[in-house]
Parts: sequence; structure tokens; C-alpha cells
Amino acid sequence: MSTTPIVQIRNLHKRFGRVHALNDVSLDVERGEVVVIIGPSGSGKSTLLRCVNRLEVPTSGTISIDGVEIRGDEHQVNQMRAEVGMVFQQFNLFPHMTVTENIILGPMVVHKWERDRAVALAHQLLDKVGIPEKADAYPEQLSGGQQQRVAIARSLAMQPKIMLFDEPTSALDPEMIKEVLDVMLDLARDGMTMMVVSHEMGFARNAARRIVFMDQGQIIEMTTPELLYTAPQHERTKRFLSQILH
Amino acid sequence: MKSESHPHPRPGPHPHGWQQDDSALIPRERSLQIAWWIAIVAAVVFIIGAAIIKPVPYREIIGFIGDGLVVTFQVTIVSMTFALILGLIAGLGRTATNSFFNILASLYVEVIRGIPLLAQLFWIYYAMSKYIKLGPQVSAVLGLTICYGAYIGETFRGGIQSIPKGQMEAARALGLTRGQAMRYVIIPQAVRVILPPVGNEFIAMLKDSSLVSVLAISDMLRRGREYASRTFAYFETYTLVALVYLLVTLIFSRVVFYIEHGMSRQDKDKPVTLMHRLAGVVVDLVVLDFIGLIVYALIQSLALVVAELPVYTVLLSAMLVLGLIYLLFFWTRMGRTPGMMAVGLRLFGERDTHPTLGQALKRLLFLILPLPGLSLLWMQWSPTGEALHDRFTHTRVGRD
Ligand SMILES: Nc1ncnc2c1ncn2[C@@H]1O[C@H](COP(=O)(O)OP(=O)(O)OP(=O)(O)O)[C@@H](O)[C@H]1O
Ligand SMILES: [Mg+2]
Repeated sequence: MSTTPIVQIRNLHKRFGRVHALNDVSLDVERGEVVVIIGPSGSGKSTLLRCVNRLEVPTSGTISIDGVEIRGDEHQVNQMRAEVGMVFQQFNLFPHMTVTENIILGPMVVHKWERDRAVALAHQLLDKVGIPEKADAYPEQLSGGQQQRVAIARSLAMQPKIMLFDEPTSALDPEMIKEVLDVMLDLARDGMTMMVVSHEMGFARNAARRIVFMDQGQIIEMTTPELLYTAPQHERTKRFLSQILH
Repeated sequence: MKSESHPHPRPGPHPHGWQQDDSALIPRERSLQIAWWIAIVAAVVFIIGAAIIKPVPYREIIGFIGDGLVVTFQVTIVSMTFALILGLIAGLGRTATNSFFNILASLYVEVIRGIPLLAQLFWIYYAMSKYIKLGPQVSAVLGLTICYGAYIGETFRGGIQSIPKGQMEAARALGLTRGQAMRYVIIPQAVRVILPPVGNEFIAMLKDSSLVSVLAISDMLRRGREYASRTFAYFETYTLVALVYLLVTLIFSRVVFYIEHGMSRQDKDKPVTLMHRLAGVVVDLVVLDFIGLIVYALIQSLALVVAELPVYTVLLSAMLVLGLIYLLFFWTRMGRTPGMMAVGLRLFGERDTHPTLGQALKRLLFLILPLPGLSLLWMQWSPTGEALHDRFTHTRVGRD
């Protein structure tokens, strides 16, 4: 069991009307592995992550999480989602709740935890992401970087087996990117399995064992960050890298 | 008639609308505030002054139309309740992905909004009587319900659609079911957007309910007309009728104002000044008095059903129901209290975010404690109260 990949994606297709957002994607993610996904806008990176926790329903193909194939059934999907954390580009914190309330909502509602237990965990997680003093603040009172760190803490509160990050730093001002990446690096070091859509090369080099280049709904190239950045194999990869690296 | 007075579902404050800074009231809003104070002081002074200086027609008129005010509230509250239900259905229909329901709801909204309320009332009462004969009260409630259901439906649609998609997705990504996400994430946010326009709908309906007087319902306007035609005191009667409508509308519009602005105030950790608290208490008391009146209106309707129950049992249970709704409101963590109650609640020096059961109970007490006292005062002093008291103690309640 522990040798099977924690995420198994097989022949995944996703169509939005005429748009073929994912075209026969297969990908395995090992336990404790960090996979970074890059690619041009519209290449299907977000769609791939969103299919993994079924925010999008695949058109065809299979996805298994921890050896269990995810089908449509509501209960199974909710159970799976509780084990798969997701961090969004726009943070999507709940603006009517304090930081602590944002974090304890999941454990209390989904896992039916006592409030005290959830709050204790929330404080622990806020320590971990470095903003213990913001426990009672509202999201609007936080900077972008702080909000994203709360969003990470909110996901971690569910004690997920996998974390999905969809461009977690691209809505942030440059000076805040590092504080979020540091938290993510910590997580990677702690052995969290992560799928990260991000063009932050430093993060990929420091944390990722593999990097995936996607274009037009397909995986074009999959290798180590070192190799991809220094010796890309495919023409499209080269063109893309030359664009983002100037 | 429904027309320009109709605040359309504004595009809704930005999803984070209650977070805006309210420290700088724009000048237009400031002059509105001043106008509000002038209007309400003038109305109160005129009514009280007239009742003292010329008690002969004026006190009598107040006593006479007071009964009508209760009927006005009754019609409005009952219609509003149904209109909220109908509006919720219409609003959900308008946001539905299923095109059948969507078209059905849209058709309803388009058709109803294109017909004046008075024409609708006539149609229901007179035209439909060719096939089904409905009583005036049923017709009145039906007409107001159907008409306002369409407008409120649009308000609901606007509120639900103003919540960014990412909110539902973030909640679902945590493993919450759609229902749980609605309950904890979407509805609490939508309520904040919807509440002020719904409050305005309530006020508009309170005024529009005067149209039902054409169906021989003894609302305030009708009572005024009866009095005037008996005594020929047209000027005095209609002046008072107009002023009482104005007074009631002004008070409720202030409630809506507080609902709108109280929400943003809660977010800032501004110190609450003594004046702030005093103002809060005064506003709360005034509002509670009106809640008292509304409760009476409710009881009257209830009493039709449970005429055997001693009146005070009904009164107490009605208060309890109100209190429980309030408690529920907190308990579901709708969070920062919208509205005037919040200002008063600052008295407890709590953070008003996630009350414990004890705190919620304290708030409940704060809500219901003044009611019996106020109700008694109302009965003692106001002609309306006397009339009501007589009805309660001597006769089974009912109107014809
Ligand atoms: N809900 C949707 N409805 C219709 N088309 C969609 C939807 N979501 C995505 N698409 C389309 O699918 C394709 C892949 O989109 P996706 O968001 O996965 O790309 P991406 O790689 O994440 O791009 P970006 O870097 O801009 O975020 C795009 O052509 C997009 O327009
Ligand atoms: Mg994307």
C-alpha cells in the first residue's frame, strides 16, 4: 500500500464545450513528493489540480487518491476532499470569519471536533505559518502574504495527505512572495505531498523532485527542475522558459 | 404604487462590502442624516403638540387610526413573510442552472414587475371573483405577496450571485457538503448583502399596504377615511395619517441604516464612546417598542387561531419565538450583529463574533426583558393599546 503512488492520474480528459482543457494526462505522485507544474496560460494546469479534488468533474479517465479511485459519489468525494488540501491564487478566505474561525471551520464541521481542540490546533498552525498574533483578525486586516499563509493553515487544519497549490504567490506583491514560499518549503521538508502550480524557479529547485511542463492540455515534459531549467528537451519548453526567464 | 421608490437590488455592495470604511460619511449621506433628524423631530413634535393643544379631533383621530396601524402591520408582516418565501423560491429559480425553472422564475418576475400593484389587487379581488371568490384579506395578502415576491426574488438573486465563486469552492475543498457550505459560508455573507434591500422592501410594502384599503380592509388609511367622512375633519385626519406613515417609515429606515452601517462598524476595533452606547440604547428601546407593536399585530393574527389561550401566554410565547430566532441568528455564527442591537450589545463589552451559549442567552434576555414593560406602557398610554387591550380582554379577536 505505502508503495503505491498517493495520486494516480490515468488518461485524464477534460473538455469545456469545444475547449479540450486536458488531453490524455497521466501522472503519478509519490508519497512525500513535491511536483511542480508549469506551463503557459490556458495550458490546463488549474484544471488538472481542480480535477484532482474534483472541483471539476473529469470528462474521462481515472484519478485515484491513496489507492482509492474517486467516482462521483458525494460522500466519497467529500471524504476525499477532507484529505486533499487546496490553496488558491486568490486566497478565498471567508471574509465574515476571523482567522481562527476560518481555520477551525473545517475540523469542526467536517471532523466534528470540539471547538477547544480545533482552536488549539489553529493556534499551533498559526505559529507554524508565523502569524500567531493575527488569530482574532479578520482577513481584510491582513496583507496578501498573511492571508495566503492563513489559507495554508486553514487547509492544514484538515490534516490532509496531499496539498494542492494553484499559483499561490502570483497574486502577491513581490516582497510577500518569500514569506509564503518559506512556509511551503517548510511543509515540503516536513514530508508533505504537494502538487504546486507555480513559476517560482527557486521554489522548484529547492523543493521539487520533479517538474512537469504542460501545454495545450498535455504533459510535454517531465523531469527534475535542474534538468528542465538547464537542458529542456522540447521546443515548446524552450520557448516557454525563454519567455518566463527573459 | 410600486415605482421609483423601489430600490432595485443594487449590484450589492462589493462582496466585501461591509468592510468599507464608514469613518468618512460622504456629504450626501450627511445631509440625508440631517434631513432624517429634522423630519422625525418635526413629525413627533407635530403629533404630540397637536394631541396636547387640540385634543378634540387629534387625540380622537390617533385613537381611531391607531387600530388601523395595527392592521397595516398585520397585513405587511403576513404578506412579507409569504413574500420572503416566494422571493427565495424565485431567487433560487433565477440562479438555477436548470433552464426550465430559470425561465419560469424569470417569467414570473418579468410579468409581475410589469403590472401596477393596484391593478393586481383589483384583478385578484374583482376579476378573479368570476371564478373563485376570495375574501378581501386573502386578496390583499395574496396581491402584496405575489407582487413583492418578484422584487424580493431579484434581491435574493443579487445577493447570492454577489458572493464570489471562490467562496463555495474553498468551502467544498475543505470537505464541506454543499448544504454546509451554504450554511456557514454563503448564506451568512449573502444575508449581509440582502438584509438592507429587504429592509427597504419591508418599508416600501408598509407604505404600499395602504392600497389594500380599496378592498375594504380597515388599515390606517381606511380608518382615517372612515373618521374623516364621519366628522368632515379631512385636513386633520389626513395630516395625521400622513405623519404617522412618515414616522413609522422614518424609524424603519433608520433601522435599515443601522443594519447597513452597523455591519461595517463591527469590523473596526474602534473604541465605543459613551454617546455611542447611549445612542445605541435609545435606538434599541425605540425599536423594541415597535417590535412590541409588531408582536401585538402578530398576536392578533395568532389569536384568531388560538383564541382560547390566555392573551399573555400568547404574548410571552411570541416574545420567546422572536428571541429564539435572534438566538439562532447568533448561534449559527452569522457573526457580527447587523443592526442597532449590536450597538446596545456593546454594553456587555463582548467581542460580538462567536458568543458562547451564555453570552447568547444574555443577549436573548436583553432582547425580551424590556418587552413586557414596554407593552404595558403601550397599553396604558396609547389609544391603540387601549383598543387592543379591550379587544383582548372582552372579545375574541377578529375584524370584519
Ligand atoms: N469553467 C470553465 N469553463 C470553460 N472553459 C474553461 C473553464 N475553466 C477553464 N477553461 C478553459 O480551459 C483551458 C485551461 O484552463 P486552465 O485554467 O486550466 O489553464 P491554466 O493553465 O491554469 O492557465 P492560467 O495560467 O491562466 O491559470 C483554458 O482554455 C480555459 O479557457
Ligand atoms: Mg490557472
